[in-house]
Formats: sequence, structure tokens, C-alpha cells
Amino acid sequence: MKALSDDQFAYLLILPLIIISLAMIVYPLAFSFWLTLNDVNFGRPSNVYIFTGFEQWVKVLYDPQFLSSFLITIRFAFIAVVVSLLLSLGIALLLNEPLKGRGLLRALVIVPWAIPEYAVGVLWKYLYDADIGLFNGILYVFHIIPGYTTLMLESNAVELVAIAYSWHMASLGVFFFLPGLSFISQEEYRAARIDGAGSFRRFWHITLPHLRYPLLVWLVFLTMESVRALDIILTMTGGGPNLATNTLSFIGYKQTFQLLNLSPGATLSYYLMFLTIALAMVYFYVLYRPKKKAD
Amino acid sequence: MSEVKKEPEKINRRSYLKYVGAGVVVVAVAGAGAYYATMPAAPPTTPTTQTVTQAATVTQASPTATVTELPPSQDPIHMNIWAFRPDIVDANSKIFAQQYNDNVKIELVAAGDYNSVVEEKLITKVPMDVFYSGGQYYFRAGRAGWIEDLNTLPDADAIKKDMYPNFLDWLTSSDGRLLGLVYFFEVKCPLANMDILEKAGLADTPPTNYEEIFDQCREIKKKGIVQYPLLADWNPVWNDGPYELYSEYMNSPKGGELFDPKTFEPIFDTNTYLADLLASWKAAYDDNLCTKDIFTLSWGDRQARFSSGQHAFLVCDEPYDMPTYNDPTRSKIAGKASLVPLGTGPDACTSWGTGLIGSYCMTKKDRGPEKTKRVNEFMEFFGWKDKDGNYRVAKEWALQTNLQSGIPAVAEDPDVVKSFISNLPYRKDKDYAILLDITSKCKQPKWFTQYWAIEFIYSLGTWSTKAVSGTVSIKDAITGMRTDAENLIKQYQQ
Amino acid sequence: MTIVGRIVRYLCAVLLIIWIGLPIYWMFNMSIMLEIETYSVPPHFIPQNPVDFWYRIMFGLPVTHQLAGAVGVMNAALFTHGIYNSIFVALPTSLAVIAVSSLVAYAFGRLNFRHKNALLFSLLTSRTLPPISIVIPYFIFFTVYVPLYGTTYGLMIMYFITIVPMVSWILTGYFASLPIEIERASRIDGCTRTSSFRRVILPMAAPGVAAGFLISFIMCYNEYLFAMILTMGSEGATLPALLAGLFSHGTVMPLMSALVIVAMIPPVVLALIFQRYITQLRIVDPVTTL
Repeated sequence: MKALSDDQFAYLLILPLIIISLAMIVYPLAFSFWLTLNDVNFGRPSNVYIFTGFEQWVKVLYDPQFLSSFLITIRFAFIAVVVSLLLSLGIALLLNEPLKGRGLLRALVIVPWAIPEYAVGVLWKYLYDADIGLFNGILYVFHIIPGYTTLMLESNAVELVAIAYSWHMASLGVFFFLPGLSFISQEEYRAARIDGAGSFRRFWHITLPHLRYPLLVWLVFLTMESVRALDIILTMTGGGPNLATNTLSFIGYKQTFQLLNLSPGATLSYYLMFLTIALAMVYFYVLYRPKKKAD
Repeated sequence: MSEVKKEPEKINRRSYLKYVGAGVVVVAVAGAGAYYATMPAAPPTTPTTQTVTQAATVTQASPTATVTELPPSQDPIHMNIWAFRPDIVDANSKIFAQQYNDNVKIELVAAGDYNSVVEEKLITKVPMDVFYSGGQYYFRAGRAGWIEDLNTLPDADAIKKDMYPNFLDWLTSSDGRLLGLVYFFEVKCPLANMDILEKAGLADTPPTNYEEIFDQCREIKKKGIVQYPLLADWNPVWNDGPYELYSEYMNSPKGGELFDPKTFEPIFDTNTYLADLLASWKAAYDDNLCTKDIFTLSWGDRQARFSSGQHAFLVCDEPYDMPTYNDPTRSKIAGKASLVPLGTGPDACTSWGTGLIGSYCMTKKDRGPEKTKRVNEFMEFFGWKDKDGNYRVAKEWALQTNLQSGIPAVAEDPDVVKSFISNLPYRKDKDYAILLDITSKCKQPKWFTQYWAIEFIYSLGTWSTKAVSGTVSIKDAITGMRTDAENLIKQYQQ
Repeated sequence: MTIVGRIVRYLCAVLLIIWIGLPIYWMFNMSIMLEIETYSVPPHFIPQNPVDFWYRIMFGLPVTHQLAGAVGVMNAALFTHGIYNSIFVALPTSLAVIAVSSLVAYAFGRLNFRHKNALLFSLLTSRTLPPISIVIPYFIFFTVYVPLYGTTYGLMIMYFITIVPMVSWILTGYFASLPIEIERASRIDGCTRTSSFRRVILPMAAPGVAAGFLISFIMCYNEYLFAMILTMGSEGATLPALLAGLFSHGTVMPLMSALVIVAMIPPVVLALIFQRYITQLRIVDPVTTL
């Protein structure tokens, strides 16, 4: 019987993936790249494509809106990642403890992720609403504010949207960490406690190292998703009070789809992609520690 | 056991860079290849007169050169609508199908990005025969050659006689093509919560221009009746279009046209009334007459907020929302929502708002004689009379949803008048007279006909937002608007 | 566990319940009130006049009160068709996704082969493309070259190619965490690679694969941008595409809340059913634990 070598077997298994990746990556990349090299405007029927070379790439960088939306994207991603991470870890730790009704809690925790992102945007928009929002109502009932007021201002819009986004995403993160947590043996904790380590040190030196790989996976995934996040901004702020939540992804959408400026939109998307890849590389470099093979 | 244990390569910086570099090269090569090979075909070029233009290079999924005609059951008429009472459209289309023994397919496109989706559909020529359009969008479609000249309708002359003349004017392109039929007409005007105005003692002295509205808001706020009396439509949203700035400019005695009516050169700058107008908006914002999230409110949000009774003036909204504001189960100000009458002094605005038409447009297609006849009948059914000669559709919209019609016979129909008056419970006949007054005096900017109109309106919206919120100075904002206008004109002249 | 520890833990649990439950409860609360009650200051945490009015409108059931004026009244048939389309798209796609992803994840998680690291990294890069730059080329592709615009099949293809890389990546870590001894034992006992995969690995991996199915289903069902651009206003319109327009234009808060509540029932129910599988989704570094 002719046996496939290891390599051949492996490649056979991942062949569909390679084909898919080609379809998914190469075609849109190539097409978008072509778009960035031309000035495409379907409203100019006499001259739909005008070759412009790399002019778009440079022009986009000089657009002041580009820099501000770049910063907004980073700010949004940073807050979303930090808050989601803290929430996921915290909730996972809590759900790892022996509690009555733990199973029910676990079931409840997954619900925010099961709700579509666009619905989360609508929901939190109503919560923050200045005239009839729930948060206003709560603050008012507890006499924290004298009357309903605008909660979402230009200065805090990014944070508020990031919180809503974290509400949605942290639920998924819990399930990245929870299984890993349950595999950490209690022996290590007991030994550490005997040695006099406080809870924080136990957490830092025992729990976290065991979670290193899920942490990497989650951080990379979450960062990529929050940098590209679009649905929630579309339904919650539409770019925010006075462009406060104008992320790169959002203006890419606006340019490409609403204004039908396909070329600037494609260029922006490329820059967004570079940002995402750069961040992923940073994570890998920092967090990836291939252990020596233990046998 | 045959799993060969190779030492896993440590993922280090260099190998990453190597792979990313390889990826970039692949992309560049693929991009060059794509440029020559996978380029989508150009959409039709657009000579304005002449026979049906079919882009020679567009490879379509549907039949191309020889049009094979199918019976109605297999080849329905496709109508694209936005999400406004689709049940009424559905019911009407069923009546059409019955009267003409035909088959209609209604496709509901989300209102938020309606125009973008429809433009994509027009560019890529998916099956679509009739669609809603409005404002400046049908001018754009007309220029690009995407829609049919409705002078080709069999009853075109009768239809045109049956329309308000200024509406007919607004639907005609510069080269005489009829771009659409009237679905409804609207002119956004300020709405007042008379409950608050009565409490402030201002019920008998209506404001005659926008500055006076702001002043009355200040008075109301000072008296402590409500905290945010002003509910302005300042959302620079792409598809809804921030109408206020150019409407106010156009209607104010101190303002005028933004562009020369003949050459369409921009004639506004920092010395014109535009600067004062923006300054008055900014003052209103800075004085906290409105909530600070005023720029993110959608039409639905404003409706909800006005209905909650916490605002004195809604600047501006369509009169067809009146039934909502006066319905006791939907609004806390039921019975107290009213229109602001036009003043007569030298400082008074000549009208409120801009006249806007929601239209039915027909896509330009090589249909073959049978299908063309069917689509023409469909168009006339919705835009004019049904098979029995009644103005069915327009009247139904007027009665059920308070939409103003483009046909005088419908607008003056006693049932319609009664229905409109019943939705204006505060001053009844007087409010209706105000509505007619505003309707007859409203204008539409001439530059709506230009291709760049929509993008310019959007630029107006974004710059005015920045000016009002203080991100840029008013001078810079107006300079920015002017530069954008010039760039857009240049861009579309190539 | 000390008393203080217990109290702290239960307090945290209560906070967690509030954090998750309050927004959802509020949404449901709004959906059973008439508009005028939603404007109450202070808000009514429990409706004084609860109505099922909005749900009736959504499903086309007869109502006693007519809404005056401009409301984007949803066409009931359209709404149910949208839900049907969403499920019709999500189900087969998810099955196909886990079929392919399992194979891929097994290869990455258990085997060693040349260029493995590079390919693993490329799995990630496929998710770095912003969605808008993926959808526009395919919009053109599905209208000009292959007539799948507006159909559910076009969406299935799009979802398949965008979800497989991610689920593969997650499942890779999962397959890597499965105990190797059993697999080795089966190989020693004479199974070929394929039969050991089929008879030994897969059953062991079932919980993780089920979790992958859940993740994939939820991603298909909740996806907004592709659904909106590729199917809005067409035969294959899925639920997000239908709801998209109602979000910004005249739809009122209670109706929107009701729509969202109903829209979220299928994924939530599925998540609750599959919840115990996703808690077993242990992820381990695939490259080093061999």
C-alpha cells in the first residue's frame, strides 16, 4: 500500500483551505489594488477610469481626516481590547469558582455574543439616549444627576462605543479562557499559597502563564476584529457626534459604498490592512514563546 | 510511528518579514495581472439622446442582445422601494396585477442606504424596472443615462398637464427629459410644540426666520420651561441630506443662491450671509439650546424626541409626520403639534425648507415592445391614474400617510383636504392654510440638477457640523465648502 | 473558602447578572410598551400598560389599534422570509465550515510539515482584510460574472470563505490539546492515518467541533455587511439585510426592540444548547506541544 508521506497527507488536508484563501485573499486584494491605482468614478461616464499610479496612496496620507481617523481607530481598538480582556478574564475566573448556579451563569454569559453586533449597537444607543435612555433614567432615579442630559459627547463617544463593543465581545472571550483555567491543577496554587504568595502573585505567576496561548489567540482575534469593527459604528453612531467615532473602517465604508469613491475607499482599506497585520505581528513577537519540547 | 519530529522553527522577526514581503510581491504581480485580465467592464457611456445604450463590454448574466420576451408570470416587473409602508405598496401592486393581468415583484431596500444600493444596482444592471428616487438622485441618474425619459410614456402629455407646474419643472432635466413621476412631495418646515410656546407666552408671535426661532428658544430656556428647546436637523448624514443650511440660505432675504443659476459657479464666500447664518447656528449650539448629540440623531430619533415633549421647535421636519405627533398613543404632545406660519416682514423668510420630490423612475433598458408596454402601464398606474381613470395611488398615500401629492386634483379632493386638516388638530383650517402657503412658495435650488449636488450637500453638512461644534472656525468652514465645490465641479468636468 | 471570599464571589456573580441582563431586559421592556410610555421620565422598569402590539405587527397579526402616520411598518411575510433565509444560509454553511476546518485544524494541530508556520500565519492574515474591500469585488463578481447577486447561495459562498480560516485557527489550538496517547495507541494498533482520524480523533474532538459549528452559525446569522450589500432588497435577503434600513429611518424604538428580540432568538437558543461544548474548547499552542 502506497503511503502518503506526512507532508503530503498534511497538504491534502489543507488543500481546501489553500484554495479558499486564494479566492478570499488574492481576488479582493488584486481588485482593490487595481482600484487604488486608478481614479474610478462611475458618475463620470465619459471617463470612468483614469490611471493615477500611486498618487492615491500619497494623497490619502496627507488628508487630515486620515490621521484623525487612524488615531480614533487605535483608540477604539485599545479600549475595546483592554476592557474586553479584563472582563473576559474576570468573568472566566469567576465562573471557574465553585458557585451555585454556575451552569446557568455560563449559559447567560454567552448571550451578549449571540446577539448580532448591529443589534448591540441599536441597544446601547437606546441605553445612552439623552432624552429617553435607560442610563439617564438610572442616574436620575438615584439622584446622581438633576435631569436627563447628553451622555454621549464628542469627547467620550469612542469610549462609550468601545464599552458597548466589549459587552458584546467579552462574552466570547470568556470561553477562550474558561477551559484553560479548569486545567490548571490546584497543586500549584496550594504550593504557592504555602510559600506565602498573595492572590495577585498567584494569578500572575501561575494562572497567566497557563493561559499564554489562549491569550495570544484571543488578543490577536480581538484586536483584528476591533480594528475592523464596522457594524456597531454604523448602527450606533454613524461616525459619531461630529466625526468622533470616524474609524478607518467606517470611512472606508462611507467612501466605497455611499459616496461610490471606490479608489480612496480601497486605499484606506489597504492602510487598515497594514495596520492589522502590523498589530498581529507585534502580538506574536511579544507573546509567542515556543517552549522546548517537553517529553 | 512515522511522525517525523522536525524542530519547529522559532517564529522570529526575519521569517515574518520574509513572508510578508513575499506576500506583497505576490499581490503586486497579481494586481498587475488583474489590471489586464479581471477588469470589470465599463458601464454605458452616456450620449443623452438616442437609442438604447447597452455597454458593449458588459457581460451580463441575463439575456443581452436579442431580448427574449417572457410572459408576465415568468418575467415580473421589478420595483424597488424603500421601507415606508411597504404594505400599501404591496396592496397597490396587487391591484395593478389584477387590473392589467400582470405580475409585480416588490423589492424592499433599506432606507438608510437606499440610494447607494440603488445606484450600485443601476451600475451593475441587475433586474430592476421601476424604483423610488428623490431629491437630487434622479438628476444624477438622469445624467449618467441610467433612467428613461418619461416623455415616451403614451399619456405623457396628459400626465404633464395634470401636475403642478413647478413640480414638473423640478422633474425635468436641463435637456428636456422627464426624469420621473411624482410619488410624493415634501417641504420640510419648522414644527412647534405649542404647549411649550403657550407656557412661554409666545404662542401668538410666531418666528419669521431662523434667528427668531433661536431667540424664542433662548427665552424658553431662560424661563426654565424645558432644558433643550431646540431640536435641529443637523445630522450630516449621507443619504438623508442636511437640508437646513442651503434651505435657510435660499429662503432668507439676506441670502440667495449658492451657485450662479446659469454657469453653476460657486458664488458664496466668507463675506456672504452664509457666515452669519453659521454664526447663529453656532451661538445656538454654544448656548445649549439643543443637546450636544444633535449631530447623531436620525430622523427616527428626532421623531421620538419631539414626541416626548421635551423640545419646543423641531427644525425641520416633514408635515407628513403630523399624524405621528398628534396621535395620543404615540406622542405626549398630541394635539399640540403645529406648523410655524410664514411671516410677511422684510426680515421674514420667503418660505421654509426646500421643495423635494420623491419620484418614480424607470430604468433605461432594452425591454422589447411587450415588456415596455407593461412597464409603462405600471408607471402610469403608480404615478398617475389606474385603469379605471382614478388617481388611486396618490390619493391612498394622501389619506393613509398624509403624503402630499403632485396632482392638484388629488390635493384638492375634499376627502384628502379633510384628512389633512384632521391631522392638524391645533389650528385646523389655519394650519392647513399655512401648509398650502409654504408649499406654493417653496423653491428648489437650481444646482440640484448637477451631478455633484449630492456630494456637495454632504460637504456642506460635514463642514457646517465642524463649524457649529467649533472644531474649525466659520471662515475656514466656508472656505472648505467653497474649495470642495470647486473641486467637485472640476472633477466632473473631465 | 472564607466567608468574605464567598460574599465577594456572590456579589461578583450578581454584578455579572446585572451587566449582562439589564440591557437585554430593557430591550424586552421597550418592546412591550407603546411609544408614549417609553418617553416616561423616570423610566418605567415594569410597564404599566404592557402590550404585545409590536409583536403582532411584526408577524402580521390583527391589531386593535391603528398606528397613525409614518411608520416603517414591516411586512410580516418579508420578515419571516428573512429569518428563513438567515437560517437557510447559516446551517449548510456551518456544516461545510466544520467539515473543512476539522481537516485543516487536525493538520495544523497535530502534524508537522514544511512551511507550517507560514501557512498558520496566513490563516490569520485572511482576516486582516477589511470587510468592505472584500465585498465590493465580490459584488461586481456576483453581478457581472456569476449571477449570484441577491441569492442566498452567493452569501453562502462569501461566508464559507471568510469563516473557514478563523474557525480553522481556533480549532487548531483545540486539536492540539487532545491527548496524543490515544492517537498513538490507535496507530500502533495498525490504523492508517485516515481511519485513525475518522474513528479516534473525530469522536474525541466532537465537543470542539460542535463549538466550531456554533461559532460558525452565529457568525453567519449575525453578519451584517455582506448580507446588506449582496442581498438587500432581493429574494435572498437575510434578516440583517431586512433590518438594516429600518434601523435608521422611521422605525420607532419599541418596534425596533421587538424586531431585535425576535431576531436574536435563534442564535441565543442555539448558543444555550451548544453552550456546554464551547466550555470545553480548550486551546493549546499547536506548534510546541507535540
